[in-house]
Amino acid sequence: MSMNRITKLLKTARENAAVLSLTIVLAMIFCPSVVKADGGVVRATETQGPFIITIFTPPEISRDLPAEVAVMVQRRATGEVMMDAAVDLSFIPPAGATIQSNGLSAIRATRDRSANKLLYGSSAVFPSVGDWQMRASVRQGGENASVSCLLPVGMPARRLAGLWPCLALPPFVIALFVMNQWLRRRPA
Amino acid sequence: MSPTAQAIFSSWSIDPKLALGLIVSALLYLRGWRVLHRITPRRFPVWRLGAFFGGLAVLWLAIASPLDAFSGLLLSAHMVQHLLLLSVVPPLILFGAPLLPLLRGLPRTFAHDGLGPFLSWPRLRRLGHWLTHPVVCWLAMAVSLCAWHVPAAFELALHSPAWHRVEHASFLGTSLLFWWPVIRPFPSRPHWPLWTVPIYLLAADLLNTALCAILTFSEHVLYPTYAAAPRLFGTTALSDQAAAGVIMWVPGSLVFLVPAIVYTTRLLSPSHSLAYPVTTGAGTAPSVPSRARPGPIAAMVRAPFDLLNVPVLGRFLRARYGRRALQAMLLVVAIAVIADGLFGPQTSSSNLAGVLPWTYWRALTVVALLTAGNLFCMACPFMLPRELGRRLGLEPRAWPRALRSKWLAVGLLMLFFWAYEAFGLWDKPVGTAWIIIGYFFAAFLVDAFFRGASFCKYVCPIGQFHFVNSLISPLEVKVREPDVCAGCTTHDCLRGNDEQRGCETSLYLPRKAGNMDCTFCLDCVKACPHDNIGLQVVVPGTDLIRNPRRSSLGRLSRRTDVAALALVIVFAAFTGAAAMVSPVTGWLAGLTSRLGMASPLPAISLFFVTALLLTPAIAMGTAVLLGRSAAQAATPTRELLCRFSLALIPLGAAMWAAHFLFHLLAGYGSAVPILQQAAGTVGFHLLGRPDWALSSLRLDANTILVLQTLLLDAGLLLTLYVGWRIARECVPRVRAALRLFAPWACVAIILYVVGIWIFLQPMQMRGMMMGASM
Repeated sequence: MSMNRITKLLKTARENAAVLSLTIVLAMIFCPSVVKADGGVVRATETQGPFIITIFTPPEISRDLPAEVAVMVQRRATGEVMMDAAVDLSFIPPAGATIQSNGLSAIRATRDRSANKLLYGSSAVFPSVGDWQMRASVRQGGENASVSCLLPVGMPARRLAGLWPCLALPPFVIALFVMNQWLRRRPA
Repeated sequence: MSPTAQAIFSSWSIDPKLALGLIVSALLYLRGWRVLHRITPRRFPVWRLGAFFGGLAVLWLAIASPLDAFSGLLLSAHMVQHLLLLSVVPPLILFGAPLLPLLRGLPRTFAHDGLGPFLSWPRLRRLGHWLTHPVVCWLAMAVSLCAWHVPAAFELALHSPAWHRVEHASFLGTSLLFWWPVIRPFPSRPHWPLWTVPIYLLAADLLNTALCAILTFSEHVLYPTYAAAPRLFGTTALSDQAAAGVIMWVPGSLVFLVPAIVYTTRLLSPSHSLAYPVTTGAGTAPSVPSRARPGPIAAMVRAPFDLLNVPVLGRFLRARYGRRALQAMLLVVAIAVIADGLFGPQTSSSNLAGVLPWTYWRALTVVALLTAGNLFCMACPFMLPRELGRRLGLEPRAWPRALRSKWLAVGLLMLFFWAYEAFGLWDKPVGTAWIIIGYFFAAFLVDAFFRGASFCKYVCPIGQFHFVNSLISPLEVKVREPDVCAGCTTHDCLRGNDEQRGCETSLYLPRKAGNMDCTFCLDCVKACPHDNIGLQVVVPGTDLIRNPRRSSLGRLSRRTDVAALALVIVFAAFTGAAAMVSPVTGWLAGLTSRLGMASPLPAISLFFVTALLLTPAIAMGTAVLLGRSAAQAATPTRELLCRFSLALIPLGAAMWAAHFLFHLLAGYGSAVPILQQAAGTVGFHLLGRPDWALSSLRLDANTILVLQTLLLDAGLLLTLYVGWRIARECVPRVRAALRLFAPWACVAIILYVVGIWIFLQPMQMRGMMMGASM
């Protein structure tokens, strides 16, 4: 690389320092899941027996797509999070829908399956649209409690609709290329 | 450590996309920094590298650590996360002066030709100048900070992952702007003198204090989500909110006040001027050396990456028996596949012959082609019988002149693509075993009776598939210094010498261009007495744009057989995948019943003849003729047809990769239990009993779909770029080039749309344990 090229590189870089640095860093940030969202929304919190049980799910649940369901179990007296409970989730489909043989009759939720290790989590796939009833049963040291809540399951976005960022990529790159060519042909 | 604390500290969420983004950024920075550090160590000292990497590490901590897992439960955890994004990550990244290292870290062609025109665009410069004005920077951060703390906006972000991304991105983006006039990353120029910086920081601290006071002293919970969240660690929602306010207040204020004090101290020091600052690395004119300094400048000139120079791998590849070792390894695999195919269970999903060649080998070789080069031919076990044939002492002859083209291979490839579907080869382990045996036999026969590597060059369909797709590989066997070859009189790379044979496919290295007919055998590398041949990195696709006279091949623009080979391979990528999706299989079944046939063979044959022969011929012929006539191009039709056919290769390769990777990723654990079973059959129980549960290991369908689409995107873009460059080369005027290009581009886009449509259909899981469609 000649001295002229280094000088040119520095000159160009200095003149565009702000835009370039921001573009690079923002491109990094806007990468689809670089900034991920937090857990879910609280569907139910109830004090049952010796426990306080809270159920979390994603804000939107779609048919046929895995949804992370999580349960927090706390001791009623102290509010301490319980780490050694057994949590089972059962689901009742909306009227008219049935659970398939490989479906959701009962699932064991464990702390391993949850991103937040204080919660008992599991992944569930809901095969039909409507209001599902979910029941979280908690057992610990001979004591039992359960909490129920409704989970509204909606239609999933079409697979094609979910692909739009990927499908938009070629037109976007082509537009940049056209601009690149236009700028190159522009008189200095 | 208590179980609760253990649970908290293990609540990390590792996001591969985040990790990939950060790793790529770090590698680009490191690549550029190394060069710049050698040239101007004072301007790019080690601490800048540390600062940039530190910024990335804190970004990772904010997004992937337990802070993120608890930010939905505790406002105080959420506030720490925001504080890192607002006040720690941006200064660290800007202290790294990321612009020059990242620019230098990018591939030179991309930085120069791709970004160059944008960088010299006056409007963009003006925009950058405006954006980094202190008033704009301050207001951007202030508006973002205030707006997102309004309860409605904060709640929106808590309940919508998409808005949460926008919130975090705006925090990070505006705080990068905010810190710009404070840190003044090299080589930017400051707008205002240094004395304004403390005032700028104090004004921000005042705003922050006001916001914190509202949070800390509010008598009711401002964000309902936290009121509904379960209470942890004995806190109430209100005390959590007050703690969040204090976190934002005390460390948040320190972040503004400490640099304000540092700047004030410097301003008050007697040696300092109140005018524009001259600080280390901030806002100063670049110190370009005033006279040539050969040492550091030489460091900027990089020789292209050469795989043969990589310490252990390079030595292994150049070793006399390096290739033999690879071939022997694949020979063992081939023998195992043959044995299991002939004597093992005849269910493809539980037989090595059903899974290894059709699921693993195909996917891995295509990945190798796209990421490295023709690695399969390098390790091809079918070449071993050739050595055996030569020892028979037969008098080998030259390959018949009439067959010295790719037409025979075109026919064999079409036959194979049709037979694969018509006879369900993937589902016949014994058939697969016989095909491999037949392949060994054919290679032995051809190479025992004919000179050189006639089988590889003119017959082998697998080889032709690899030759064609390796035209877009990033590695190429090529001469390192052309001047050295100019003085060479022995031409050992072609003719060989007493110790090493030369190129068996008759490629003379100084005139070799691209990877066509190159088996990566590295005989030329070993034969060259000047050590002047390497396995070098090239820009993928450039070989399709050039049209040089190639050794042993001539100009590809005159090779109709090579163009036909490329078209068959490209269209077969779409045809083969289409034949596996429900709408097409249903349509074929319907056609069979309408024709009143008992066998689906005629319908499948009709489908393949139409898709592999008629469609490419009609589509390419029409597109080229239309384009040529519209552009009034003088270039002969045959030349245009050949060059534009080759330009479709990236799209075809992307489709092959997307298709094969789908099968691999949808059941990547299948090989283990099958291998355990096969080993057990021959009494080798060391691998344990077959664990069939591993067969269900798979990537989820949506991730595979995104991966497939991104691959096809890349293929389409490279194809269109190559086509456009060819059009510009044939017709110098832009409008005429566009007319020449447009009809052909329509063919490429239609193929892309067909590919996306195929991905969206349920596909048969051939040879996989689950047997269902996905």
